[in-house]
Amino acid sequence: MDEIKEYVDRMFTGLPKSKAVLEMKRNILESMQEHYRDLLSRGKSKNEALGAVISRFGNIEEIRKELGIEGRAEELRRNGVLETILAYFSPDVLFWRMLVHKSPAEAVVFFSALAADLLLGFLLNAWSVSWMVFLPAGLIVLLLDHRKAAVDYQSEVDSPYGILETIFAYFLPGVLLWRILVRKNAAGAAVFFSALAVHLFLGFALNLWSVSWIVLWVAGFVVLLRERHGRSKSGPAYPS
Amino acid sequence: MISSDVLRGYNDTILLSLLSEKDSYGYEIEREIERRSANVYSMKETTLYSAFARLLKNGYIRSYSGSETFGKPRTYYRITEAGRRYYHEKCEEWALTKRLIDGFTQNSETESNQGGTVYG
Repeated sequence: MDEIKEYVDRMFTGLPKSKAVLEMKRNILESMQEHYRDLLSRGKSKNEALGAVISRFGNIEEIRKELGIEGRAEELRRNGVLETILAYFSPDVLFWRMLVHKSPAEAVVFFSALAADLLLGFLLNAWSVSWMVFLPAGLIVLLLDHRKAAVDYQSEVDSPYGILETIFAYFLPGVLLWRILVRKNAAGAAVFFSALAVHLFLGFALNLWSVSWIVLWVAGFVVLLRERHGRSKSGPAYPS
Repeated sequence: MISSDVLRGYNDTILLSLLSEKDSYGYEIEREIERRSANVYSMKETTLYSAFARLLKNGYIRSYSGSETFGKPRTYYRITEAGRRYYHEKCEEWALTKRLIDGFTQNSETESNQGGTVYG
């Protein structure tokens, strides 16, 4: 019996632990165990019964396809490598997505990393390396997401969210860039990169770092207005 | 042995046919398929449960927890009205398919005995 459970566990390892998957796994396991007991009661040896039951399992790809679960490679291809890196390894995108997901687990990971970053920075003055704590934090969230199912960034970007999420979406440069990339919004990208160029020019050439960040906020506002305008014209439903 | 490629489109029909007689659960359905096909066809677990998932999603069957085996409630399946309609459509489709393919296969023995034209 334990061998059957082990076998099924092994077959299901690559799949996310979603409700649909776990239910299917439980049903299949029960069927196989019933088959096994039935064969024993009809006088088969344990080995014969086990062999028959396992050869009856089939192909896990069938389940993956039926439940619409993409492999890691397909998921990455759909979401894009750059988008995935930004989504998990840029602290502000991570922060924004945590707000949108309303996920306590993600919040714990994010704020632990933030606390570690600030502690290392203030106490040991290790600012140059303290930001690295966000890398393992991003990795943990990535793994958490993977346990759920394939992540569809497009729907995350378009899903309705509150005022706080909207403000961060347009005024944190990293989130803005990430959203522009996911949407493949060329006009937004033009606005963003122009603003970035102006920002860097004001900073490096004129040493106006104290005010140059305002340019990025203005860019966020421009993208926000453009999206609102486009939305009211073409009318897809993603209210704020 | 029957190739599973041919049967793929009709696994759902086989399940609906059995469920139109009575509510049932996974293992009972597997055994019934083997019995009626005189052990020519046995459906794999992944095939069976993918088909259940698909039929549930399309609203052709419903599932519920039934009597217990070894302390665990079994998942039973029941056909819906939409499922019955779909089943009848598939039956008609098969009748047409069968007539069509029969037209191309019934003379195969006499032809091969003549040892005449070889194609391909």
